[in-house]
Amino acid sequence: MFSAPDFQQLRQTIGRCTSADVEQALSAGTCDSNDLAALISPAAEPYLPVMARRSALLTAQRFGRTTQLYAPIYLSNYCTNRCAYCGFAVNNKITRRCLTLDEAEAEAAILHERGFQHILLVAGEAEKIVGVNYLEAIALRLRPKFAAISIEVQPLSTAHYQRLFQAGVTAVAVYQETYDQEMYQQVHLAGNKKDYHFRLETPARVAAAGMREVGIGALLGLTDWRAEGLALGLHLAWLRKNFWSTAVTVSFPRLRPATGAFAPLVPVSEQNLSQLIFGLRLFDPDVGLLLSTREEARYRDGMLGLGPTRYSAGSCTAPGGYSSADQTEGEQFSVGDQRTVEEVSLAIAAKGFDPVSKDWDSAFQH
Amino acid sequence: METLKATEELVRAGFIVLPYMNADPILALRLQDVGAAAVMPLGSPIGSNQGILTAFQIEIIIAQARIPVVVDAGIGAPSHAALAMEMGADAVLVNTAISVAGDPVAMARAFAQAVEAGRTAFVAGMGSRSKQAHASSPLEGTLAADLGFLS
Ligand code: SF4
Repeated sequence: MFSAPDFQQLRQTIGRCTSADVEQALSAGTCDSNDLAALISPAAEPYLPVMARRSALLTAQRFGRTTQLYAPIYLSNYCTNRCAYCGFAVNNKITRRCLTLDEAEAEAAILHERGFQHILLVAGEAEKIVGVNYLEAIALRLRPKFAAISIEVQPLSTAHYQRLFQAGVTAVAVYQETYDQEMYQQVHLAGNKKDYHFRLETPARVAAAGMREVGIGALLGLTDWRAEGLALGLHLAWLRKNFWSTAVTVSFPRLRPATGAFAPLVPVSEQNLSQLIFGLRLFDPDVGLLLSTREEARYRDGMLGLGPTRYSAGSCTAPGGYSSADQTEGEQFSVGDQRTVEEVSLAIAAKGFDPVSKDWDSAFQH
Repeated sequence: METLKATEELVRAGFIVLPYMNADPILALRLQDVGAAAVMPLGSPIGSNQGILTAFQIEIIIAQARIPVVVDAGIGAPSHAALAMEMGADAVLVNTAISVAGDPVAMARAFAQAVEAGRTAFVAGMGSRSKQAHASSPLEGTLAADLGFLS
C-alpha cells in the first residue's frame, strides 16, 4: 500500500533544492521525484516560463492540440462529515436535497443537450442517502447517453467499485485534500472522513477494481502547497507502478478567499498553481491534469495547452442546479468561470485547440 | 504469449520464474502481473554479441517495472554491459562473450568492472543525451512561454 509520506521531510527536501537542481531537472530526459521537488521549489520560480514551454510541448505530444470538456452533476448535498472548508458540512444549516433518479436524469439530459459526453457525478458523503445502489441505478440510466461517467462520492470498497464499473462508471475521483496528517486532522472534524489512511488507500482500491481512470488531488490552501505537490507526485508514481492499466488524473482545487466562506490558511497564487501544474507535467507526461471552473476565465484561458488536459465548463455546483432558476442556492463552492460551454469551446478554438467531448466510448468497456 | 502462459502456470505451481523475453514493454508488465520474479528482456538475438539494439524498449521496461529487470542476451562486450547498467537495469546476464574469450577469467573481470561503472553512473544520475548540440549552460536561449496572463 502507498504509505503516508512524511510531510516535514518533503518540505525539507524541497527547501534544500537549488537552481543547479532545477537546471539538472530541466535538462534530464525524464524526471524523478527529486527532479519534481526541484521543479516545484522556490528555486524554480525564475524558470517558470521555461517550464511552461516544456510542459506545453509534452502536453501536445501526449494529448494532441485538444482540451477535454466535462461537466459535474451535483446529486446530493447531504453529508455526514464535518470538513472545516466545505459548505456541505453536516453542521451547516443549508437546504439539503438529493436528486431522485428522474431528477438526475433530467439534469443529465440538459448537459447532453449542451454537447457533453463526459459527466462527473458529485455527492456529499452520506452513505445511507447516496449509496452504491443509488449510484449504480443512475449509472445504468445514464450510460447510453455518455461516453464517460466519473464519480466523486465517499470512498467505497473494491467490490462496490467493481459493481459501479459494470454499471458504466468509468472513473472515480477521490482527493486526499491534504497529505499532511496533522492538518488533515485539524480540518476533518467529524465523520468517516477523519480516517486519513482509509482515504489514502482508496485510489488503489479504485484501480484494483479495474476502473479505467482514478483521480487524485489536493485542496490547495490548507498547507504548504509545494510539499502537497510532491506528495501528489509520489502517490501518482506509486499508482503508475502498481496499476499500469488504470489512467491517473490530478486535480488542484484551490481555496479562494471569499466572504463568509473558509479562508485559505496559506495563500496559493496563480503563479504557484501554475508552477505545480508544469512541474507535474514534466514529472509525468501522461497524467491527465484538471482545471475546474473554480478558477477564473482569464486564468483558464491563459493555461490552455500549457499543461492541463481537461476543463469543466458551464458548471453548476448545487443539486438540481441545471434545471432550476436559481443556480446558486446550496452550491458547494462559487464558480470563478461563469461562461457557458459554448463560450469556453470558442475560447479553446480561438487558441487553436480542439474542444473534445470524449476520449472513451462505453463500447470499449464490454 | 506462450511465455506469459508458461510463467503463469509455473508461478501457480510454486516456481520462482525469471522469464527471458522479447523487449516488449507491455509483455513485461503482464509478466509482472502474473507473478514473475524478474523480467529478462533481450538486448539483441541470443549469442549474437551485437549489444543493446533494443535500448528504447528496455528503457521503457525499466521505467515501468516494479520487479528487477535483467538484460539478457546479445551482450558481447563490457561496454554493452555498462550501457545496460547506465540505463538502470538491475543486472545483466552474460554467457557467450565470456565463455568464448581468449582469457575467460580476465574477460569476466572486465565485465564485473563495467557493471560496477555502469551502476555507479546510473546512481549518480546521468545527464540526458540529445541529437542536437546544446549550449553547455543548458537553459540560455531556451524557448519560454508567455505567462503575462497570470494575475
Ligand atoms: S468536503 Fe465532502 S465530505 Fe467534506 S463536508 Fe464537503 S461534501 Fe462532505
